[in-house]
Amino acid sequence: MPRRSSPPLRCPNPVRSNLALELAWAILLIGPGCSPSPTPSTPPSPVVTGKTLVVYCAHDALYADPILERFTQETGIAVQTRHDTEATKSLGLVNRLIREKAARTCDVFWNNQVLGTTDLLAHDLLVPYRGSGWKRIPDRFKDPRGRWCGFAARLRVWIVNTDRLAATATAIEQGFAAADLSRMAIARPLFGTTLTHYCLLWHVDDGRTLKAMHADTRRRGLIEVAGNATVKNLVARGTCDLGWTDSDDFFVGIDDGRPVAMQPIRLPGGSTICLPNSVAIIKGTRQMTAAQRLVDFLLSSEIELALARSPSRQIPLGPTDQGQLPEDVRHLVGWASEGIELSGLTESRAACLAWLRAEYDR
Amino acid sequence: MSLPIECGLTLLRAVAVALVACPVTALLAAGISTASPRRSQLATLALVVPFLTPGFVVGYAYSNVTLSLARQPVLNELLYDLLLLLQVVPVGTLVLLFAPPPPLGPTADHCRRLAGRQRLDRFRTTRHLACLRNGELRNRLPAIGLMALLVFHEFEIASLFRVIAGGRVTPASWSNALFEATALQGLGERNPSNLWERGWLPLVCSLMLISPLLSLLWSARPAPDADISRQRPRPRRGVQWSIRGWLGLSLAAVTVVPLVSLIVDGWSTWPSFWEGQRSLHSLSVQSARSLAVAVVATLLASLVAIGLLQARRTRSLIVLALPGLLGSLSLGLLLTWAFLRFAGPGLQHTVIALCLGESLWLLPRAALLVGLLTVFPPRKQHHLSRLLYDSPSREQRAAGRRLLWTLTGKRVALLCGLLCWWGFLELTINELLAPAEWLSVAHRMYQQMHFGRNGALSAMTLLVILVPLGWITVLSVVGHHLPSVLPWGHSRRPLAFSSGRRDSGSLRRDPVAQEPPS
Repeated sequence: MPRRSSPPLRCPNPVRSNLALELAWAILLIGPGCSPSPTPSTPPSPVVTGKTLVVYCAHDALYADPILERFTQETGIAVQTRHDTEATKSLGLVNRLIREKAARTCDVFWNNQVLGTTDLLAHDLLVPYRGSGWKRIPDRFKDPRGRWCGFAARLRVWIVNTDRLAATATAIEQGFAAADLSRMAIARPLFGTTLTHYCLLWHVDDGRTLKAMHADTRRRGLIEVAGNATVKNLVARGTCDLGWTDSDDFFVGIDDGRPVAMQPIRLPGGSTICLPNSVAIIKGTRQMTAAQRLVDFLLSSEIELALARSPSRQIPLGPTDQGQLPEDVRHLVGWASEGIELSGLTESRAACLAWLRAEYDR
Repeated sequence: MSLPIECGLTLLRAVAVALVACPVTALLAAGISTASPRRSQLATLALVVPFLTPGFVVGYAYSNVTLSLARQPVLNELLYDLLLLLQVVPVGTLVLLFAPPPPLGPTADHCRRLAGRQRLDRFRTTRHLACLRNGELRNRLPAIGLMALLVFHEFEIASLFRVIAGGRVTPASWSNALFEATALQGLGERNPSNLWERGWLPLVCSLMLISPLLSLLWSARPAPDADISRQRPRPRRGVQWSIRGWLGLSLAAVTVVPLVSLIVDGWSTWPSFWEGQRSLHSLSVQSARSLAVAVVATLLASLVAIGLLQARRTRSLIVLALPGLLGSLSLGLLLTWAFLRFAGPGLQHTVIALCLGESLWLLPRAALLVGLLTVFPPRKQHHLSRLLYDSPSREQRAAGRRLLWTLTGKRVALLCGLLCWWGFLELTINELLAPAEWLSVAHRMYQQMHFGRNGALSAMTLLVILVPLGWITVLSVVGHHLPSVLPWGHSRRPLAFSSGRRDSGSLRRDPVAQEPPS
């Protein structure tokens, strides 16, 4: 390819010799942003003991972050959180933990339910720890060896738009049996608490009733969305009349002044579905002391109370001063006590998940 | 819905949207290139801003509208398609504006018609297909391909709009389906080659869509400085009004409405947000880290692009930029596969992997911007400006400084600013490669957007968007006041990708170059 002849003017600095200067200019121009994590003057940074504690958290960032920030304030231990999306929540983090088995980065896993955490047992990813927090939680909500422990539960509930439907068991039953189900919404059952809900239904008769129900509801136009929060939004805005969601999402609708009411979802035996958060220390952590402090902190009655008073109104599982509980939560405690046993679901969960994946991959 | 079906539907949408966009881009390109310099600049700004508006902000703004359409999947799809159309038209228009004119112009076409088809049929180059290939289609096809590619890879809005009604997914999106397969089913974790089994189809589709542009770039020759532009007739008044209408509509729908909704939503929470200093503190730290990664990636991408373009290694640049052209998800999965296959999982979630991924993603954009912004001014202009700047006269020094800023500093600042903007707001590579503590602040916002709209989130999103804008302002101010350290060289020869029409069109008309100061 022919090159152009030299221009008539002689230039003092040819292009190639400018490379160093170009670099210097670029660094001058852009350099300040490269300084690692500048520290703002206010508020003062917490005293960080050693490295930062990495927490994988499936609980909503909106509610979890203030709790973790309070932990940092009280202990001086800095926490870095990795949340998962509403759409893939908990399952995405569980898979990530399994994937990172060879090169672990997570110290503590705060799951927003129990299933998923128990999956990690099979991969030998959890460290036993029976601290002060573990001791105060009832046996049915924790691993006897201390590899995980539940706290602060939610309920699976029917959410109903009261402008369109009465919030009674009969009205809900009729709404669910309608020929047109395009006014009912659920979260996609591939993940989250809807997956747990499906697993429990699968557990009843090895999925026979569930499969029929799933096909039937889809045929009748059931709406499936990314997460339970969107279900709440659809019902609260009146686009749908009813849906399945979690009690914490329902209370967001209430706080927004929306015309919504709830009823607990009951399984064929009449039990409710009570879903505790769970916390576990990941094997291979180099921050064992800090991780244990965080676990005890999360399992303390103060935090259960704080979560009960938060907009998510989580139900305390350990002994707590009932007088300090908000009215909404006191109402839920009775339903939570009727909750079905969640242990022994590992096989049903695996089978249900395999079926769902095949179903949604068609 | 299976991945191949979602992929097919996404491809169908991409082609349909690009074909609908094609006449609009031709109209806009004609209007902008024949407008006066000032109007042309304003129109270009109005054109580009919607494209630069982050998709997740647009999706978030319309998330309530799409909720209302949950039971009308067709309307939901149409709303999504309209937003995509408004976002990609600027890209197609810019391709038409900046691509070198095709070899066969209207004059050649007219001569061909005058000569008669039969007389010319024995010449292979005058056959219908060859004429089409060397005529207007030569630039339109790459424009269509690039627009289709962008639509094909869009996932931010699709993810926020996604609904299954009666078993039917709307809008279909292969990237969402593949992302879920990776996040939920641990695709590739046991056997990295599983990523190829699922990912080959979108990769092939992407390559197919990008091939016209690659072909144009591959065959590009650096053009001489001569003015080879051709005069276009000025569009009629009605057409001009249509152009203004389109620009206004896209600006309003894709930029103004989302930003105003963020402000209105977040208005009530501002006071409590400022009081909650812990949140503000963590947001600042996350923003600073995200900016640091974006800046490093910008530097790497710019230097590689500039280096290869100056060395005229266009083809090496195309090969290096190809993974970035295939979209952030494809690139992220390719890197994930490479790390799992060759380096083990230890390197996958590190800052190095993140910076590498972002740099590769930014590289094609950097290369295009270096060419489009003519970061290296012609030798004569640069030298004269330097002479003026070295003058003993104070006024002349000031004039020289202004010239240097216009010729180089402003363009470099714009290049770095735009790349930082994209790097800062990138989501997928972050998801796949970032370690927990370096996860970008935009990614965190995007995660929370799936929970629905709320005031605090809107306020935070607005703040997050302001961070790179603030950084671009800083770049401009620093660059403007420190022209004496401007070392950017001039090109002894035109850069590869340079259209050679730099000083001819109104868009590229540089008053400084045309009217040297006395």
